[in-house]
Amino acid sequence: MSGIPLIKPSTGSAFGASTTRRSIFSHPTMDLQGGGGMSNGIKDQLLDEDMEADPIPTLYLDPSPIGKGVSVKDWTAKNRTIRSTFRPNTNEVAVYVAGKKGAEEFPIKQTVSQKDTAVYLCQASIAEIRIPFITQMYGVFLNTTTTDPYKSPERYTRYYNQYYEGISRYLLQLYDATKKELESKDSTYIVQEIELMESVSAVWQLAEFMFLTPDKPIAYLFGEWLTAHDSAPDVEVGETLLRSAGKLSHHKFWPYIHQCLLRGMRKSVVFMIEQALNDEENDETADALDALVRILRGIPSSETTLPDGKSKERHRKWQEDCNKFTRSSHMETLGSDAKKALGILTGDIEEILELTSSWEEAFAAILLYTDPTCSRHDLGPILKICVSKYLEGNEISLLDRIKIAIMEMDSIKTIRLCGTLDAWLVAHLADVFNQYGYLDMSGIDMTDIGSQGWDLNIRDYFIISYAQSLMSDPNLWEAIAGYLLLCGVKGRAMLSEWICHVPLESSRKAYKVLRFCKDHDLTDSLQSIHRVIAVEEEKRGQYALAIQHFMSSKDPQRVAKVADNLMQNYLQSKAFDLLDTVSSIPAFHAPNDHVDFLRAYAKFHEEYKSGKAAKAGSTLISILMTDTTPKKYWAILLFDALPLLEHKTVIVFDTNATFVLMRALEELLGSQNKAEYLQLLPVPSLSKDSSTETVTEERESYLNTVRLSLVRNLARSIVHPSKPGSTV
Amino acid sequence: MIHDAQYDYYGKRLATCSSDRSIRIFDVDGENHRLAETLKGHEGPVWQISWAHPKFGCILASCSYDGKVFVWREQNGSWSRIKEHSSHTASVNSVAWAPHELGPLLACASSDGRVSVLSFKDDGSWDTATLDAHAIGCNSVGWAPATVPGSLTQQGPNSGKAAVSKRFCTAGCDNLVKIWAYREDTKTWKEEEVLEGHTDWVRDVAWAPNIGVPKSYLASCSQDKTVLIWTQDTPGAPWQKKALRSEKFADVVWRVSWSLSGNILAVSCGDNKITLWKENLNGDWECVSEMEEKNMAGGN
Repeated sequence: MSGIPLIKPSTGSAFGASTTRRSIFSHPTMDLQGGGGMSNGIKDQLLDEDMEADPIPTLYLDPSPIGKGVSVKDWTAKNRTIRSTFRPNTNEVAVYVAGKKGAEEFPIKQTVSQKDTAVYLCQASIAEIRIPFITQMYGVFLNTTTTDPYKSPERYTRYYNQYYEGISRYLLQLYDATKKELESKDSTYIVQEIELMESVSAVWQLAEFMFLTPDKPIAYLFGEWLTAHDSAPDVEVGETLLRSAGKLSHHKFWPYIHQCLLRGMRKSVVFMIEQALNDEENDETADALDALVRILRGIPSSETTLPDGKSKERHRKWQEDCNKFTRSSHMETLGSDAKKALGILTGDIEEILELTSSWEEAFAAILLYTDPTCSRHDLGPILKICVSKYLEGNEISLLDRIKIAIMEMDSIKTIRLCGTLDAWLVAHLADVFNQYGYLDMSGIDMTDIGSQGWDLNIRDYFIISYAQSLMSDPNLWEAIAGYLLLCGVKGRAMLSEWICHVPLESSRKAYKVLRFCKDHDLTDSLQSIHRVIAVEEEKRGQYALAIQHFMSSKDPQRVAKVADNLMQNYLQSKAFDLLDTVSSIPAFHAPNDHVDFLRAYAKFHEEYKSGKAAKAGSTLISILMTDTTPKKYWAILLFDALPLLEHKTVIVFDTNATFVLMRALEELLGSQNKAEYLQLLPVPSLSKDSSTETVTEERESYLNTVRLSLVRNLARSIVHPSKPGSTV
Repeated sequence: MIHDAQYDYYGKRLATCSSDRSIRIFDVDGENHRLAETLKGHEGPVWQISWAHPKFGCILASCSYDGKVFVWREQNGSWSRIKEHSSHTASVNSVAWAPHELGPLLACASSDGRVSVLSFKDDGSWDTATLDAHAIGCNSVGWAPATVPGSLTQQGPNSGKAAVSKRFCTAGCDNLVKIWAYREDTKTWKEEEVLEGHTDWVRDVAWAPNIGVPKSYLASCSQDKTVLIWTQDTPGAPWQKKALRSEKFADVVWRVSWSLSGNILAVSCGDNKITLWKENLNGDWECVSEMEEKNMAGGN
């Protein structure tokens, strides 16, 4: 089966590459040669499964890393080859000149030229003109894929129709761009894109008519399709004929009539013959034309099928009239061209094949005039006749192979072939087919696939491939993520890794990516992205933000570390408002001892700064008595208690509160982890080279001051046993 | 000349390492690129580089013919060497950071036949575990995805509950591919599997990212001009091998690497061709794209 080209070589210009600015990117341009076009470049023998292998798209490093006059053999012999590396968030690759020999025989001295340091960046850029189509169709996809066509048929059809409307709109935009871009370098791309999208449009509508519109006869729909995608006959010919005096004798009259008949354009034929009749002076000829008009007016409409075989009967009777006409004298009067016209009307296959110019035209005409009520499943014999006449022995284009697969109602083959034509087409068609049950593989013997561990979902396979083809444009991340999200376990698994690699250039984008992960329960990804952002914020000194993100990434150890840094920063500089900083950490996060402490500590400082000594004291004691307050912060609290203990007019701490403080002090200083517990105290004016013991001793001396103050306060509180906050 | 090029996690930086003993870091943005830094310090050709996950900071590891592994870090716009690992006695050919879920672990493969696994700690110190991996020399090392294959399916992908796997694979001059697993009970790395299939030195081995199915994929390439795809249907099941293509490649195959989505394999062959391969719905590998230098077409 054909693969999805990763870097689609639809045009040379699609391969953006960096311009030469630095030495190693000496000539990083890509040149596509002989890679095979999309819609018309891949040909093989019709209906031969073995011949369905498509040529492998090949990219050439241009200009070559090999210098002029050097043969590939010599270049390789001089220890050179090429290697590649994937870009992690896309399927793009960087290719570079590498040493060919392994470490065990690598020459110690290797002569290197500038060409040996070239890196070729193969970027599959998406043309700007296609972006609106991609994003609009993503919206349509979201609606269709989440709607059941059997439960809500009208709604589904409304959504589904937007695909074809979108394709048509995009084509109009491309036609418009051709006029503007005639002189620009993009014109080649636009011409190729038009060719591709015209194919996509034809395939999409044909598939729609064959698979999804069962209530209308295919003979009628196929004619409509042919008119939409292969407009003939030429309108100008018709206008010329109308202006001409002797219409019947005009050399283009009968060919025009034949073409209109082949295309089922009854009204045009009748109109033109009536005009000829009006001009006609010969009574015999006029009678013949008049009889022909009556025959033509009697063509039964193929638009609807009447029940109980009435349509078939009506068609049979009408053909009897046609046969009678061919046996009448009118035939002699009108001549051989009219005979050909009657040949078409009577369903003379030889005659039709003689007059048509393509298998589609022949198919439409034979179907219309031999069996207009033919079921979609019985088209095989007619299809075979037309294909044999026009395609046998010739190379068959991919587009023709797809159309034939559709006419054979082979949904799997249709999808497989569409996979080679266009990633967008196959993804969205597979989604629609899947919803209508056309991709049910349960009846197909593919046991070897089952053993591969794949969950055998063709729809997912192609939608994932399409999403991957968009990855080169980071601005399309929401669409990419949305497609992957709706592709089962595999899609979600890919999404969970890929979304972590979406560059977060701005906080707005970071927020959107996080929101997406949260909304869709991408828990691992959410935590991973939070963690990366947290590291960045910490690097920037945005501790509150870093804490928030570390909390969201469920990493309490890093929260503790950043909280310590924040505290140290605050204690050393006091250059920011701790309460403001801590307030910015939303309260909805899971409780965290360090953050809870920071909040309480900031409140304590606020109260103290605003002169509410008693309140501040009470807050400080409650922090100390909270079991979850990390012990390493006790030293800070005791140190902060000092001015309150020494308050001139008020006893801030009563006896009990003083005992709480004293117990905390003794627990710290008596602990074997003393050095760790005291580490947040300001570093005294010792040299950087001071030993840990010396630093700890110096910090302990600070707390000895606190001890003295505590003893004094205890005495005061015993002497004045009143409530905390009372004046002495 | 360049021996390895690696994009960073977001694909916005490209690091290259060369026979001129240097490492160059480029900022790559669309069609623009800029040489941001040149790192020097190795005393021999630098064979390979590996970016750590950004949650550990902007960190790059490099290994060289000089037998050393350096860990570099960028902080406030400037790069510095923060670690030097010099316990190998011969060229260090490959370095690879473990999946971020496992913490900052770096595996290094050397021509002395050993693989060292460095485990970095928060306080700046690190532990080293050294394994005798391949008798004549070890050419490549690659980590398994952190999540156990299939656990995504059972728990629902991205549920935060997937089981964690701590394994890596190595490629050796003994023609073998080996899989090593960490045993939590003994806190040691243990040889879990020996995969025999190549008939000459195995040059590179790469474990495919986990794409949500119970199956594990491993690719190895060799001096014997073949690429083998090793698969394990479920954890614990026997590994099975399949040649990427029935006929041999035209030359030694030097490098295999998987795309992030795990379904495309890039193969670098000594015939100066890069081929991209994808497994189709039939389970067959098909070449979907080729890259080669321009003169090849003209048969120069």
